Amino acid sequence: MENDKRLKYIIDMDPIFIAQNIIMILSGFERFSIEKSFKDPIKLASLIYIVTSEEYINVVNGSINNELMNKKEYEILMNLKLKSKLVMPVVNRVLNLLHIKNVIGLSICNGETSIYVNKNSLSLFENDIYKPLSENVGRLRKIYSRIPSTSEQNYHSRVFGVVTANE
Amino acid sequence: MNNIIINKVSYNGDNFHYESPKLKNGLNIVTGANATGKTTFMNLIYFGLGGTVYMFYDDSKQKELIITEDKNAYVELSLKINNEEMIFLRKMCQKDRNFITVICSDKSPKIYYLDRRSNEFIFSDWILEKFNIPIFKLYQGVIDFTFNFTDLLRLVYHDQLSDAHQVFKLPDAKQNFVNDSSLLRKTIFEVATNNAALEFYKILNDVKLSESQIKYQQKIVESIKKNILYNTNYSEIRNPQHIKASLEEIEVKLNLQNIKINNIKSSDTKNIDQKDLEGLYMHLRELYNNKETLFREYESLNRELYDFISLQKYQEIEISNLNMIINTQEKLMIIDSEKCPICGESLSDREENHCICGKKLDEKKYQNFFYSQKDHETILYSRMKSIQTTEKSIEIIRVKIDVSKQKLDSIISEIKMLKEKINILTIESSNSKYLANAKVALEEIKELNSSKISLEKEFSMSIEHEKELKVLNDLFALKKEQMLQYEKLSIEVREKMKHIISDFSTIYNELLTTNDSSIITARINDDYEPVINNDEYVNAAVKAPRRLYYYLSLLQLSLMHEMPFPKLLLIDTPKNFGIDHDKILKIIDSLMDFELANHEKEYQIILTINKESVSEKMKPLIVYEIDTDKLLKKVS
Repeated sequence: MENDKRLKYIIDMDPIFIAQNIIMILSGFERFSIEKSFKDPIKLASLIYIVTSEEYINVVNGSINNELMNKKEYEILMNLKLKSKLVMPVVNRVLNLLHIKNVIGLSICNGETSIYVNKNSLSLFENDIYKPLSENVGRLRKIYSRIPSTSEQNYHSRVFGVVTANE
Repeated sequence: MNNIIINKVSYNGDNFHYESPKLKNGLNIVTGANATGKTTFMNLIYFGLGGTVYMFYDDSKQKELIITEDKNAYVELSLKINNEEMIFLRKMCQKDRNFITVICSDKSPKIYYLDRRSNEFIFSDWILEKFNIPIFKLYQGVIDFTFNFTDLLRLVYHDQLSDAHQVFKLPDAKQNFVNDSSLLRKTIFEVATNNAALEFYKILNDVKLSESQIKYQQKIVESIKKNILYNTNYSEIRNPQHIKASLEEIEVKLNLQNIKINNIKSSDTKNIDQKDLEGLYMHLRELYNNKETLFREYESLNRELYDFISLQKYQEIEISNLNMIINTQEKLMIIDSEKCPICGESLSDREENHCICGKKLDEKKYQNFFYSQKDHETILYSRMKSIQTTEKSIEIIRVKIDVSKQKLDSIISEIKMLKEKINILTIESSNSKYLANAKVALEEIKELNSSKISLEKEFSMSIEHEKELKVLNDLFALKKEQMLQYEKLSIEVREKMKHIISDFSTIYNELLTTNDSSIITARINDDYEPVINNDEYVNAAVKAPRRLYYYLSLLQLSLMHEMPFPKLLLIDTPKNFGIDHDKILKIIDSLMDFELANHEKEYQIILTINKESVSEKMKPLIVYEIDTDKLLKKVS
């Protein structure tokens, strides 16, 4: 592989990375059928990055609890906000590909999106290397209900915007 | 050696009652015509041992009306656990069926609940303790669950309802992700057969407990750290010794100011060598400057270390993610340079040096948009190299920090000594020309006092931080020790399981090949699942006996070696196996052979069979024959 190709690689924009995090989140949240499906793709896009580290989950938890933040935590939040805004087109493409492959179920009805994972495809992820990610999904699940669902314009400011940096 | 021997089964209600004759060691046969209550008999035993039997429940679709409509009904099991006589009582009504009353011969009755959600020590814990099986949790992804006695009963109760394909199906629960997981099935087998596994699962539980304590302690340390940093202007927590040194400095300065004031008040005059004092003050200033420089260097090195540790953490996460990506890519195969990135269809028509749309494009540039598995592996390799570099840098910085700390400590002690010297000289001097006026001195004292208060606060908090950090480090050390023990036991258990698999397979092979001519070889694999004729197709009739012989092999093995299995088998009506009459007779013959070979040993098999299958040979072993009426008799 050429050096410039290697240097250009950004893990956060890797479709495989996004696909595996989506599947782990859906399975960890037990979204296995259309009746109990994930309804908010914008929220899903932000969870993809929050779930990558225990520290990020704690920072987001602090933000939704209106806790005081230091400079570093503020930077993490801004970074998460930027990433989850940029990744939306890739998420849509990955969701479509996974749907075609029958790994996830995807339906759009009356403007409402329903996403759920096909239980059979979970056997692909039966490996210890997914354990840290699966543990983070468990942690995220505890704070998940407090992360609001809202329109695209308001979502990022509702989740990440209401913070005050303690310089 | 662990064993359970059921002596008697009774059912008492306002409308119906039943009392079995005394059951004995070894094989006990209960017979009866179809639908007379053989399954009810077995279910009464299973229910009495704490199992869930849906046919006894009001809210079940297939409820046994005689029992669900009866009033004040309860099951009484008279039994021996490890030769200790006792009685289990369990009520049938919905309100009271979630506990068992245990009456031991020399002790007062005790009530044990079956539900773990509301009680810390339940019936399962009590009975597993009797068998020296520790209480432990199993962890599967984000879910954890406690190993229960009913899990062990999966290898005791051979019921009719479970699918004959599945050796480990839990008779009383609907299949779900946890109770039919391979982890739980393997654990049950290991707990039943291997004494070393008990210690292993206990230590595994301890490791998990330590992990959760570590996480809790980390949060405490983090919150104290956050609090300290919020109240100070530093980016990292200062060492309590350094805070103490700063406090001592302030104390010395305060003393000096106090002396100044006293000297102004005093009228005494003494002659001292002012030049000496001046020289000492110059030296002290110099030392302070050096100390300040060294301290800045020390702080900046600490900051650098913190940045490198953060980088290392980030790199570790990235490596773990890359590992996952490589694995996912291999299995999912959704993105690839020869597939459309939008719909995933194969691009068989794409020519080399052309884009997907057909436009000319250098192949290298085209490939730059896709990362194959090999590319990911190369990136992973380069990231692993980077983390090694980071680790080396951390080591170098740590050495630099140690050197810097030593220099700082030596200069602090030098300052202390010089201050003492100046102090003595200053006390001797009075009415010196260096003494400032009282107002300036008092202002200075006020400022110094306020710094002293904030430093004292910081000091007490950093002591607390250090204390909690020590607890955290102790927990890490404990976990490390437990991990060592865990790894040692893990090897021991694996080794022992190899012998058990081999012994079990020998018994299993002999039982199946002797009793069924269509079977050439039988064994169990590393997941303790049966493998018949090396997994080649065998007729459907084999599926039923393979489960029963599996249970029988386990019992045989437990009679040969010391193991925690309770040496009890409950086998319900093999007629429903879906196999022909001759094969049933062969199965029962093999059970009778088993009885002949082991009749002096402490074990029990309770078998229910249809009246039509009873042969002359079996008659001496029949302990109870259900007559044409039902098992439960109406109270006269």
